[in-house]
Amino acid sequence: MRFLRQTGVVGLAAATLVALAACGSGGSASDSAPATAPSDLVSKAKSEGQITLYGDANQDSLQKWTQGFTDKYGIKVQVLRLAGSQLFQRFAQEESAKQAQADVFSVTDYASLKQSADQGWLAKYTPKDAGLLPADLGEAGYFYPLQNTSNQTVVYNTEKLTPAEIQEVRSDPVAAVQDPKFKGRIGVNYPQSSQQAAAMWYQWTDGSQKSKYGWDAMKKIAANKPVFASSPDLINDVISGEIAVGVGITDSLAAPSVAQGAPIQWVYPDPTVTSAFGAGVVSNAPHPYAARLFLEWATTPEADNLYSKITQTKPINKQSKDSRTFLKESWYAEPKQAWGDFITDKTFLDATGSSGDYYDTWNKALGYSG
Amino acid sequence: MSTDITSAQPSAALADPTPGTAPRGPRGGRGARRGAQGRRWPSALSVVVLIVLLGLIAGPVATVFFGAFQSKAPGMPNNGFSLDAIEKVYASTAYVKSLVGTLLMSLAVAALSVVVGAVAAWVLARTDVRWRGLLELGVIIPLFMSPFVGAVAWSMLAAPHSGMINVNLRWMLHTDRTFVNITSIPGLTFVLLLYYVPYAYLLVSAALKNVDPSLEEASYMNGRGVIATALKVTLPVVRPSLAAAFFFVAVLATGVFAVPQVLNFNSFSPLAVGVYRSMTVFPSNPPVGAAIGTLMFWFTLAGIYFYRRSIRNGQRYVTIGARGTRPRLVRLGWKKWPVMGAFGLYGLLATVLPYAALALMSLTPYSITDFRKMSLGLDNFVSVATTPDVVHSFENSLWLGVLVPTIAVVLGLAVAYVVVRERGRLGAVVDYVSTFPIAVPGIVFATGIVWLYVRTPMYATLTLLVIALVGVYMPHASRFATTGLMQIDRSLEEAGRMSGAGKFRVIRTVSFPLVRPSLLSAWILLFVFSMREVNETVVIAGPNSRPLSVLAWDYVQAGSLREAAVVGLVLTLVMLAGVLIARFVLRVRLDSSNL
Amino acid sequence: MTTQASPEAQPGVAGTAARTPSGSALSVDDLRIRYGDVEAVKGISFSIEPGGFLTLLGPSGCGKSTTLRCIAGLEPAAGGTIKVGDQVVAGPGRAVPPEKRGINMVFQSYAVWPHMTVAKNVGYGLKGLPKQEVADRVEEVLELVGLASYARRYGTELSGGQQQRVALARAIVTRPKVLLFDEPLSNLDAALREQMRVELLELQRTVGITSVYVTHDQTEAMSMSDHVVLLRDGVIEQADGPRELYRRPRSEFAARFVGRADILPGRLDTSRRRLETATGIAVVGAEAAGDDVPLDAASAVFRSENVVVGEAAERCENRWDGTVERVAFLGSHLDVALEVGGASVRAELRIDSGVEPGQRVAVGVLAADVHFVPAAGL
Repeated sequence: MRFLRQTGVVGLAAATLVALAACGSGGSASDSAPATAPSDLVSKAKSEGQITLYGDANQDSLQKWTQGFTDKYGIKVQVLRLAGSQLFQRFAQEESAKQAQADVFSVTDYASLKQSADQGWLAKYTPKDAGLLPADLGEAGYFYPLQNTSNQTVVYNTEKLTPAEIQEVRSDPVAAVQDPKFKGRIGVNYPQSSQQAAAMWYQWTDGSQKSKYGWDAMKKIAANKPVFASSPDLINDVISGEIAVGVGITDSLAAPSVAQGAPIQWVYPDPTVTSAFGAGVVSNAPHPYAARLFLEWATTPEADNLYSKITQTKPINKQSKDSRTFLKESWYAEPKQAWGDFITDKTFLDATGSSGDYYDTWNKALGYSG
Repeated sequence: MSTDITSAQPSAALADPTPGTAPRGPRGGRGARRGAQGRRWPSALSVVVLIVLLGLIAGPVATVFFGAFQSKAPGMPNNGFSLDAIEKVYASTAYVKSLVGTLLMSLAVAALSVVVGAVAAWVLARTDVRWRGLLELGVIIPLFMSPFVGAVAWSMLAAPHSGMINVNLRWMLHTDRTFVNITSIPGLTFVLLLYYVPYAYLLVSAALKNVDPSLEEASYMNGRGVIATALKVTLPVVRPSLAAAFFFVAVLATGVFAVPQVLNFNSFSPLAVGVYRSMTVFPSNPPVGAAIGTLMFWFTLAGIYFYRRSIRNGQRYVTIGARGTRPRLVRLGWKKWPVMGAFGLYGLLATVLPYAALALMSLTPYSITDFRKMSLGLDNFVSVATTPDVVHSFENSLWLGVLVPTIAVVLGLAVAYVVVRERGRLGAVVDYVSTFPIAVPGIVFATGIVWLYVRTPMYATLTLLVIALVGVYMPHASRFATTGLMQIDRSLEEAGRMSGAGKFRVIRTVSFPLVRPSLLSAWILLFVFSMREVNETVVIAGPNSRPLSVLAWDYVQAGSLREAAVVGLVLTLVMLAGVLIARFVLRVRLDSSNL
Repeated sequence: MTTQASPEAQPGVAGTAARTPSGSALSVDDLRIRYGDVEAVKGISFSIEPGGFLTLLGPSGCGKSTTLRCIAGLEPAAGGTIKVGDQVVAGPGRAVPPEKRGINMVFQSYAVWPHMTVAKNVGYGLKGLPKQEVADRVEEVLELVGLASYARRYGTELSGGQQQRVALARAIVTRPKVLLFDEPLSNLDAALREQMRVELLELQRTVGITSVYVTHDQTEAMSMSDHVVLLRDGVIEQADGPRELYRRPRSEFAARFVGRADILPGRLDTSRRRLETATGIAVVGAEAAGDDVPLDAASAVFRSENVVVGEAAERCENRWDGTVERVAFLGSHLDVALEVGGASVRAELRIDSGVEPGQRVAVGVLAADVHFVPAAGL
């Protein structure tokens, strides 16, 4: 009897494996989906029932935002959140192997989106509200910006600094973190974590601020023994007081914690680096109609307002209103200038490309083990 | 059924039918013959097992080696042969520091784990210490926490500036000292140590239980005391097992990337972290990751070589027949208090503090470590509970927890049968191939799996996770099954053949029921491992096949540490539930007696 | 040699072809078994008639167990042929798996499955038969071995002797064409061993199964078998009936291994009946030495129990002067070590023979009790 039961289990396991394999092979792509919204888009999308969204924005924010779509249409959104370069690597690999898992692909890195469009991995699709979005931040017909001006900031913990120190950080954050008095109290986001972070460092060392800061500034920052972390880790470190000042955290990442009462504030370096994340429909998406419906929804003012509220970022849609709460904070100051053209700046792209040596130089100057 | 299998045949050990002067192969050991020439063709079973193993293990490893010689990840457009990655890793000094640091750290973790594990095993097996069951549980229980979740907890506890220990001791003692620093080399070693001591304990404890008590009794009769006996008799006899445990832990510690990654460890970059970063950090360079993987591989392979050799040496000392008598228990007297204190300290560091930290974290709205400012709430639980992925991830975890151990155990039994019973040249090959996965760091293996399967319908499905984890954990299952099978007198199976049953009927009706306790123990251990696994799954899981452990990892990566703590707690509860069911319904004990 | 037909020899469930009544039940021809580069069994041949009881005897390491396991199919043969009845079960390019050979075996360790009841153990080999028939046959066999009341017990709940009987019952219930015994009594204590020996033999005679028995115990071999094959280093030293083997060993090894022998090396004269040792002691035999005995390297062999001292020596053709060196009291007799012309001679004497160490005595052996073998290589 016992052995019958055992073989039963094995048999079940084998059967399950076969069934799972069968599931995996289902849901193949259809490229015949339309380039604009057909009249029956909603019903077709609903019958597909779900989509998978690839994104590199904050996991919580993406989940709360896409819940708005689910609430409206009853279509479930599965979010896969990974760091931008890892996500693109994965997306590219899947698309090359004709193994589309994602229905909608979204990253902050413009170059990745552009490459995806050029490779034919993004479907040609124009949502109805496309005209309400700034044309220069997307690629018409392929991908559209869904969020504007997430800016690099320097975040500090108000409980870990004296008023004088706060004043010093606010007046010139990049100069402040070179000050030996902050030794052992600062953390930096390394340029490898995202293209924006790289751009931020690049403009200080080689770009517009080269004469003001340059590589000497890096050596002084290194002498302060900074903690190296990606921005999500860095913001946690600032909030917990593990460090007092964190360099290279986007305002969209810091704002929700401010809203929850964390003892932090931020200041924008001058100029800051700004960027938007874009999204497009994947060309052989497993759920082509639901994906298109999602892009339709995501480009509406309604969705933009929701996203802006959740992430505390400046809305991008011409018809939405700015509901950022920290604008009212006494310490808040608008960024003076912002560099957004790094996505097309050739010398920057070369230095940080696979043949450039920017990261090695930076690692060496800052004493980061890579 | 209530038969006590381990005491089945007191005479079994005498029954080796090998003639006394039959030449022993170079492997030595009991009945380890090789290459019986009369066997003209290998059995169908061994051929099938070998093919399955090669597919499961050799395929992904070969893919990694292939990937190391490419200009981009295999399968990407405009990809081609390139030596860049190999040159960068092998022919430059860029990774020398990482390599040396990784090796030294692995060896240190292994040495410390073995010392702590061996002392614990000796105390529990040879002294009259009280609450033995509870203490043993205390040593084993860290297995139920994913090491990276433990690392999250410990960075909460002991980060140099903001760790709970530092922050609160500072205001209590009116000082601004830093008491503990978990991001240092000793800190990383400490966290790894907590999670590898159980392995060392299990391996050494099993060996101690197999030592013929009369060896120690003879030493006492010759006037040697407790310490002299332990050092001059017991230690040399279990030395091969200590060595095996040492190399086993060293190899595992080499492959771990999640713990240093979580601790934000920056004293040097462990190679496994290097693999992870080259796959994930901008601009990613998968061939370099693969090349680092191949670099690690040579060292772990050496570790496995020594591990296997130690295991073989250990088998020389195994006395299966002499289990009737119990070893003399050393009376501890007043010393039992410090001894129990030491166990208590370990339990505090490895279990109590981390769980307390996780519980606190899961209740705070953002990172608060100062007890004076604590504000607690259930927001994180609500946030996790309302995430649509959670239920799905929970299902995925359960599927993994059922399928992986089941398939791995069946395969492990088949491997053990071929290795122990059929022997021959093919048996030796199967033996080697089956220990191979231990030598392949999880993330490297997982990368190979992804590259190998990206063009198949299995990509990103739960099936692929099952395949990968079966490959990874099969060595554990086959070790349990091998040990179990070796303790069963061969003639029990031969009697079945003589009664007219074919090989598979004998395996089913005789071998399987007799090794059942070993197999169930393996099943439970692998259940726990597959539930908490993250080193492989994080690379392989697709958006729809994420288990809870990967969800927790994603939360960590996204900086949502408190949600990660919630998932980590849930994961532990699920594992505990599984183990309790096994303990009280199936009567399986997770202890060292079946290793 | 007993050649009774075996009435029970209908094919069991594991059986295949019916046996021809005339030929051998089992024949082994030029069997070779190798481990790696070493030949453990170097071409041995023997056969058993139906219902016969053959013992493979020899010291440990002589290849007897290996040979048995090879017959069973548990070890592969490197050369030679094994036939069960008319069926070749092992031969060039042929190796019938063990379960298809129609053979069963009693193991040294008994190999009683601890996870099954006695009845399950015994009924294991009866797969495929109707339930009722299985039950009947199991009961019948358990009755035969006297374990009918233990059917529901588990293997581990039995004593050694009882496990032995379970193993035996399990082996005969399938009605094998040949039954193999691998030192089945070696794990029992002395008294039980004797009892089991008698029972086992009785059972074998009752059931009439052709049997091959492996042992290193000459008493078992002598008392049970009708044919003994003495093995040494993988070759057959001598194959004979037990009496022949004892009476006329063909070598010093055979003489020493079976019973207690006194061996005096020396040179034979041309009559081939008289041997002179290096120290000048002469030994005469009733029968001339065989042709295989070289004249200048021969040994005279006689049994210790045939050595007499004192007056009894007067009647013997061989009479020597000797000195008593040691006397050991063994209950049934005295074990006496004598020095005879520089050589040592052991004698078993009645306990009332009144010899003392140091005593000079006349030592005698009848010519009819003397036998010549080639001297062991020097």
